[in-house]
Amino acid sequence: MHNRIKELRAKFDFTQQDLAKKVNVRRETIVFLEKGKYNPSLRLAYDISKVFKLKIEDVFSF
Amino acid sequence: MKKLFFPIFLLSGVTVVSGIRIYQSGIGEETKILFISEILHMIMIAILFIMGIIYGVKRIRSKEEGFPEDDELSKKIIRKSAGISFYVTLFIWLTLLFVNSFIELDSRLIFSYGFIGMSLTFVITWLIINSQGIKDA
Repeated sequence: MHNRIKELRAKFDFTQQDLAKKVNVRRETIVFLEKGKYNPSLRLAYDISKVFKLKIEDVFSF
Repeated sequence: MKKLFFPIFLLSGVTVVSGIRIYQSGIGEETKILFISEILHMIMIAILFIMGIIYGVKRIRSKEEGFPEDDELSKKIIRKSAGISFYVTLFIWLTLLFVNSFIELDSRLIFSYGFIGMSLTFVITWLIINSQGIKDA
């Protein structure tokens, strides 16, 4: 699974900590997501997409 | 899973076998046996204790900084580590029982190596999964 979290985070000027707090996960989880070491749950994918005001498929893709 | 199994099993096996070898090397010198065995136990327990402290401090810091202590990733890592280490420790106990059928060992020593082996296997598995990430669970 690929994602645009790093790109979108830079665009919205969020740090990893900011994003982690917004979606209520630990900073390590955001690090793992950005490195492609973790495939998030549907709930987390939805929450992250919501923060960036995008659809899930605009943030995550296969 | 297959990639993880062999290094973990190898490390656990080395721990158990080296413990038994050290025990055997001291047969006839009771003081030496106790000394080496206890030092080995102390080292293993110290490693587990230090890992426990590091894990606890990380959780406290995480809470203080306003992050959750556990999230979906950390829970999945723990679940996967527990699953793999359970599988590996079955072989540790079987190996210990098998060795015990040939070499008479103190039952306390078998249990202590078994339990320390279980704990070490879990810690090693957790460290490996924590560094590799988790994609399929």
